[in-house]
Amino acid sequence: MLWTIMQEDAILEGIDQLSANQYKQYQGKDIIYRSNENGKDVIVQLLSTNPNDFLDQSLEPGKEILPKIF
Amino acid sequence: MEEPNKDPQCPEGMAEKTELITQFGQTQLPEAKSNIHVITIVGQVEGHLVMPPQNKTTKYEHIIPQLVAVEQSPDIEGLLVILNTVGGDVEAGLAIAEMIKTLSKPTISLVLGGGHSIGVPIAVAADYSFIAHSATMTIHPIRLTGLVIGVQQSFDYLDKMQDRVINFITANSKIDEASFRNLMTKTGELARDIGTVIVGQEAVKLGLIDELGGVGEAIKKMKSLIEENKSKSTEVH
Repeated sequence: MLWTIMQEDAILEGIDQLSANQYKQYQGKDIIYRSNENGKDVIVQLLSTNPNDFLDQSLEPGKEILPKIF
Repeated sequence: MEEPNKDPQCPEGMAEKTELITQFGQTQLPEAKSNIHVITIVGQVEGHLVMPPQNKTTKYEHIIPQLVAVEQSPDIEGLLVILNTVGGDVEAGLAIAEMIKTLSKPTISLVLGGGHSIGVPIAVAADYSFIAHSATMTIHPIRLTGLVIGVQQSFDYLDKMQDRVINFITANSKIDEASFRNLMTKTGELARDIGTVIVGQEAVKLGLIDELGGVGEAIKKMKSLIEENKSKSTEVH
Protein backbone atom coordinates (compact mmCIF):
# COMPACT_ATOMS: atom_id res chain seq x y z
CA MET A 1 0.00 0.00 0.00
CA LEU A 2 1.78 3.15 -1.20
CA TRP A 3 0.74 6.30 0.64
CA THR A 4 2.52 8.97 -1.32
CA ILE A 5 1.89 12.12 -3.30
CA MET A 6 3.78 10.77 -6.31
CA GLN A 7 1.97 9.18 -9.24
CA GLU A 8 2.14 5.39 -9.35
CA ASP A 9 3.41 5.26 -12.93
CA ALA A 10 6.30 7.60 -12.10
CA ILE A 11 7.31 5.41 -9.16
CA LEU A 12 7.04 2.05 -10.89
CA GLU A 13 8.43 2.98 -14.31
CA GLY A 14 11.24 0.61 -15.27
CA ILE A 15 10.46 -1.99 -12.60
CA ASP A 16 10.70 -4.79 -15.18
CA GLN A 17 14.21 -3.71 -16.13
CA LEU A 18 15.85 -4.16 -12.74
CA SER A 19 18.94 -6.36 -13.01
CA ALA A 20 19.15 -9.54 -10.99
CA ASN A 21 20.48 -9.46 -7.44
CA GLN A 22 23.69 -11.32 -6.71
CA TYR A 23 25.28 -12.33 -3.47
CA LYS A 24 28.85 -12.14 -2.24
CA GLN A 25 31.13 -11.33 0.68
CA TYR A 26 32.44 -7.79 0.91
CA GLN A 27 34.65 -6.47 3.70
CA GLY A 28 33.96 -9.74 5.51
CA LYS A 29 30.18 -9.27 5.49
CA ASP A 30 27.47 -10.92 3.41
CA ILE A 31 25.82 -8.57 0.95
CA ILE A 32 23.33 -8.62 -1.88
CA TYR A 33 24.41 -6.45 -4.80
CA ARG A 34 23.43 -5.67 -8.36
CA SER A 35 24.78 -3.79 -11.36
CA ASN A 36 23.33 -0.32 -11.66
CA GLU A 37 22.51 1.53 -14.88
CA ASN A 38 26.16 2.73 -15.17
CA GLY A 39 27.52 -0.81 -14.97
CA LYS A 40 28.88 -0.34 -11.45
CA ASP A 41 28.22 -2.88 -8.70
CA VAL A 42 26.22 -1.36 -5.87
CA ILE A 43 25.09 -2.77 -2.55
CA VAL A 44 21.37 -3.58 -2.38
CA GLN A 45 21.22 -5.05 1.10
CA LEU A 46 23.52 -5.92 3.96
CA LEU A 47 22.85 -9.33 5.49
CA SER A 48 24.04 -9.29 9.06
CA THR A 49 22.74 -10.06 12.52
CA ASN A 50 25.13 -7.57 14.10
CA PRO A 51 23.36 -4.18 14.39
CA ASN A 52 26.71 -2.35 14.50
CA ASP A 53 27.43 -3.41 10.91
CA PHE A 54 24.51 -1.23 9.84
CA LEU A 55 26.30 1.86 11.18
CA ASP A 56 29.19 1.32 8.75
CA GLN A 57 28.75 3.85 5.93
CA SER A 58 30.62 1.78 3.35
CA LEU A 59 28.02 -0.98 3.69
CA GLU A 60 24.94 1.14 3.08
CA PRO A 61 22.49 0.27 0.25
CA GLY A 62 23.44 2.18 -2.88
CA LYS A 63 27.16 2.36 -2.03
CA GLU A 64 29.48 1.26 -4.78
CA ILE A 65 31.52 -1.87 -4.18
CA LEU A 66 35.15 -0.77 -4.27
CA PRO A 67 37.94 -3.18 -5.24
CA LYS A 68 40.67 -3.45 -2.63
CA ILE A 69 43.45 -1.05 -3.71
CA PHE A 70 45.22 -0.59 -0.39
CA MET B 1 46.92 -1.01 -11.25
CA GLU B 2 49.73 1.56 -10.99
CA GLU B 3 51.10 2.37 -7.59
CA PRO B 4 50.11 5.82 -6.43
CA ASN B 5 52.94 8.35 -6.75
CA LYS B 6 55.06 8.13 -3.65
CA ASP B 7 55.75 11.82 -3.17
CA PRO B 8 58.06 12.12 -0.16
CA GLN B 9 56.35 15.39 0.78
CA CYS B 10 52.88 13.82 0.62
CA PRO B 11 51.59 12.94 4.13
CA GLU B 12 51.01 9.32 5.02
CA GLY B 13 47.68 8.06 3.66
CA MET B 14 47.18 11.07 1.33
CA ALA B 15 48.37 9.12 -1.74
CA GLU B 16 45.70 6.47 -1.19
CA LYS B 17 43.02 9.12 -0.59
CA THR B 18 43.97 10.91 -3.82
CA GLU B 19 43.80 7.62 -5.69
CA LEU B 20 40.29 7.04 -4.30
CA ILE B 21 39.18 10.46 -5.52
CA THR B 22 40.67 10.19 -9.01
CA GLN B 23 39.49 6.62 -9.61
CA PHE B 24 36.06 6.66 -8.03
CA GLY B 25 35.18 10.28 -7.34
CA GLN B 26 34.66 9.44 -3.67
CA THR B 27 36.37 10.70 -0.58
CA GLN B 28 36.70 9.10 2.78
CA LEU B 29 34.50 10.83 5.29
CA PRO B 30 36.18 12.45 8.30
CA GLU B 31 36.19 10.13 11.27
CA ALA B 32 35.06 12.53 14.01
CA LYS B 33 32.78 10.59 16.31
CA SER B 34 29.53 12.18 17.38
CA ASN B 35 27.25 11.27 20.26
CA ILE B 36 24.27 12.16 18.04
CA HIS B 37 23.38 9.78 15.27
CA VAL B 38 21.51 11.03 12.18
CA ILE B 39 19.12 9.04 10.03
CA THR B 40 17.64 10.56 6.89
CA ILE B 41 14.24 9.54 5.58
CA VAL B 42 14.42 10.47 1.91
CA GLY B 43 12.45 9.90 -1.27
CA GLN B 44 10.09 6.95 -1.17
CA VAL B 45 9.84 4.79 1.92
CA GLU B 46 10.37 1.44 0.22
CA GLY B 47 8.16 -1.43 1.24
CA HIS B 48 8.14 -5.06 0.27
CA LEU B 49 8.79 -4.31 -3.40
CA VAL B 50 12.18 -3.03 -4.63
CA MET B 51 11.65 0.21 -6.48
CA PRO B 52 13.15 1.06 -9.87
CA PRO B 53 16.40 3.03 -9.73
CA GLN B 54 15.00 6.47 -10.60
CA ASN B 55 13.47 6.54 -7.11
CA LYS B 56 15.46 7.71 -4.14
CA THR B 57 14.45 5.31 -1.40
CA THR B 58 14.58 4.74 2.32
CA LYS B 59 15.06 1.06 2.98
CA TYR B 60 13.50 -0.23 6.20
CA GLU B 61 15.67 -3.37 6.18
CA HIS B 62 18.67 -1.11 6.73
CA ILE B 63 17.08 1.52 8.97
CA ILE B 64 15.60 -0.93 11.48
CA PRO B 65 18.87 -2.70 12.41
CA GLN B 66 20.55 0.74 12.47
CA LEU B 67 17.99 1.82 15.06
CA VAL B 68 18.77 -1.32 17.08
CA ALA B 69 22.45 -0.35 16.94
CA VAL B 70 21.59 3.20 18.05
CA GLU B 71 19.64 1.79 21.01
CA GLN B 72 22.49 -0.53 22.00
CA SER B 73 25.53 1.67 21.39
CA PRO B 74 26.91 3.32 24.53
CA ASP B 75 28.52 6.06 22.36
CA ILE B 76 25.26 7.26 20.83
CA GLU B 77 23.21 9.44 23.17
CA GLY B 78 20.54 10.77 20.83
CA LEU B 79 19.00 10.31 17.39
CA LEU B 80 18.16 13.03 14.88
CA VAL B 81 15.76 11.97 12.14
CA ILE B 82 15.78 14.27 9.13
CA LEU B 83 12.89 13.95 6.70
CA ASN B 84 12.53 14.95 3.10
CA THR B 85 10.15 12.31 1.82
CA VAL B 86 7.23 11.95 -0.57
CA GLY B 87 5.80 9.11 1.51
CA GLY B 88 5.68 5.48 0.48
CA ASP B 89 4.75 2.11 1.88
CA VAL B 90 2.40 2.36 4.87
CA GLU B 91 3.66 -0.70 6.77
CA ALA B 92 7.33 0.08 6.28
CA GLY B 93 6.72 3.68 7.36
CA LEU B 94 4.81 2.64 10.46
CA ALA B 95 7.52 0.07 11.30
CA ILE B 96 10.16 2.81 11.22
CA ALA B 97 7.87 5.17 13.17
CA GLU B 98 7.25 2.58 15.92
CA MET B 99 10.99 1.90 16.19
CA ILE B 100 11.71 5.63 16.59
CA LYS B 101 8.91 6.00 19.13
CA THR B 102 10.14 3.14 21.30
CA LEU B 103 13.83 4.11 21.42
CA SER B 104 14.82 4.79 25.01
CA LYS B 105 17.27 7.52 23.95
CA PRO B 106 16.12 11.06 23.06
CA THR B 107 14.86 11.41 19.49
CA ILE B 108 14.25 14.56 17.49
CA SER B 109 12.73 14.80 14.04
CA LEU B 110 13.27 17.61 11.59
CA VAL B 111 11.05 17.99 8.54
CA LEU B 112 12.82 19.77 5.70
CA GLY B 113 11.41 20.14 2.18
CA GLY B 114 8.60 17.62 2.48
CA GLY B 115 7.21 15.24 5.06
CA HIS B 116 4.28 13.96 3.07
CA SER B 117 1.86 11.10 3.67
CA ILE B 118 3.64 8.37 5.64
CA GLY B 119 6.29 10.99 6.54
CA VAL B 120 3.76 12.39 9.03
CA PRO B 121 3.76 9.37 11.41
CA ILE B 122 7.55 9.16 11.18
CA ALA B 123 7.90 12.86 12.05
CA VAL B 124 5.57 12.73 15.06
CA ALA B 125 7.09 9.51 16.40
CA ALA B 126 10.11 11.38 17.78
CA ASP B 127 10.16 12.81 21.32
CA TYR B 128 10.23 16.30 19.86
CA SER B 129 9.58 17.41 16.30
CA PHE B 130 10.67 20.43 14.26
CA ILE B 131 9.56 21.69 10.89
CA ALA B 132 11.37 24.21 8.72
CA HIS B 133 9.52 27.39 7.67
CA SER B 134 9.22 26.28 4.05
CA ALA B 135 8.67 22.57 4.62
CA THR B 136 5.31 21.07 3.64
CA MET B 137 3.29 18.10 4.77
CA THR B 138 0.45 16.67 2.67
CA ILE B 139 -2.34 15.17 4.73
CA HIS B 140 -4.48 13.03 2.45
CA PRO B 141 -6.36 9.71 2.60
CA ILE B 142 -4.37 6.52 2.19
CA ARG B 143 -4.72 4.84 -1.18
CA LEU B 144 -4.61 1.27 -2.45
CA THR B 145 -2.58 0.41 -5.54
CA GLY B 146 -3.33 -2.70 -7.53
CA LEU B 147 -6.41 -4.91 -7.83
CA VAL B 148 -9.39 -3.64 -5.86
CA ILE B 149 -12.42 -5.90 -5.47
CA GLY B 150 -15.68 -3.97 -5.40
CA VAL B 151 -17.14 -5.24 -2.12
CA GLN B 152 -17.85 -3.57 1.21
CA GLN B 153 -14.96 -5.50 2.74
CA SER B 154 -12.46 -3.58 0.58
CA PHE B 155 -13.70 -0.30 2.00
CA ASP B 156 -13.76 -1.69 5.55
CA TYR B 157 -10.14 -2.78 5.07
CA LEU B 158 -9.14 0.66 3.81
CA ASP B 159 -10.94 2.24 6.74
CA LYS B 160 -9.10 -0.02 9.19
CA MET B 161 -5.73 0.87 7.63
CA GLN B 162 -6.63 4.54 7.74
CA ASP B 163 -7.65 4.27 11.43
CA ARG B 164 -4.35 2.60 12.18
CA VAL B 165 -2.43 5.55 10.79
CA ILE B 166 -4.71 8.22 12.30
CA ASN B 167 -4.51 6.59 15.75
CA PHE B 168 -0.72 6.62 15.60
CA ILE B 169 -0.56 10.27 14.58
CA THR B 170 -3.09 11.51 17.13
CA ALA B 171 -1.48 9.45 19.93
CA ASN B 172 1.92 11.01 19.20
CA SER B 173 1.00 14.63 18.58
CA LYS B 174 -1.29 17.31 19.96
CA ILE B 175 -3.81 17.18 17.10
CA ASP B 176 -7.19 15.58 17.81
CA GLU B 177 -8.77 12.93 15.60
CA ALA B 178 -11.63 15.07 14.30
CA SER B 179 -9.29 17.86 13.16
CA PHE B 180 -6.94 15.40 11.48
CA ARG B 181 -9.80 13.69 9.63
CA ASN B 182 -11.01 17.11 8.45
CA LEU B 183 -7.58 17.88 7.03
CA MET B 184 -7.48 14.49 5.36
CA THR B 185 -10.85 14.81 3.62
CA LYS B 186 -10.79 18.49 2.67
CA THR B 187 -11.70 19.14 -0.95
CA GLY B 188 -10.65 22.04 -3.16
CA GLU B 189 -7.06 22.39 -1.98
CA LEU B 190 -5.19 19.69 -3.90
CA ALA B 191 -5.53 19.72 -7.69
CA ARG B 192 -5.92 15.95 -8.25
CA ASP B 193 -6.53 14.67 -4.77
CA ILE B 194 -8.44 15.14 -1.55
CA GLY B 195 -6.60 16.56 1.45
CA THR B 196 -4.58 19.48 2.69
CA VAL B 197 -1.06 20.79 2.24
CA ILE B 198 0.26 22.42 5.37
CA VAL B 199 3.34 24.61 5.35
CA GLY B 200 5.76 25.15 8.22
CA GLN B 201 4.03 27.27 10.86
CA GLU B 202 0.60 25.75 10.13
CA ALA B 203 1.83 22.34 11.23
CA VAL B 204 2.83 23.82 14.58
CA LYS B 205 -0.45 25.74 14.95
CA LEU B 206 -2.44 22.55 14.29
CA GLY B 207 -0.50 20.67 16.97
CA LEU B 208 1.02 18.20 14.52
CA ILE B 209 4.61 19.38 14.98
CA ASP B 210 6.09 20.79 18.19
CA GLU B 211 8.15 23.71 16.96
CA LEU B 212 9.22 25.71 13.94
CA GLY B 213 12.97 25.46 13.43
CA GLY B 214 15.96 24.08 11.62
CA VAL B 215 19.10 22.15 12.31
CA GLY B 216 20.46 24.62 14.87
CA GLU B 217 17.34 24.47 16.99
CA ALA B 218 17.15 20.68 16.62
CA ILE B 219 20.72 20.16 17.86
CA LYS B 220 20.18 22.59 20.76
CA LYS B 221 17.02 20.73 21.81
CA MET B 222 18.81 17.41 21.40
CA LYS B 223 21.58 18.50 23.77
CA SER B 224 19.04 19.53 26.40
CA LEU B 225 17.11 16.25 26.05
CA ILE B 226 20.37 14.32 26.40
CA GLU B 227 21.22 16.24 29.60
CA GLU B 228 17.70 15.61 30.97
CA ASN B 229 18.03 11.92 30.17
CA LYS B 230 21.41 11.73 31.91
CA SER B 231 20.14 13.45 35.06
CA LYS B 232 17.08 11.18 35.12
CA SER B 233 19.28 8.07 35.04
CA THR B 234 21.57 9.38 37.83
CA GLU B 235 18.49 10.09 39.99
CA VAL B 236 17.32 6.50 39.67
CA HIS B 237 20.66 5.17 40.85
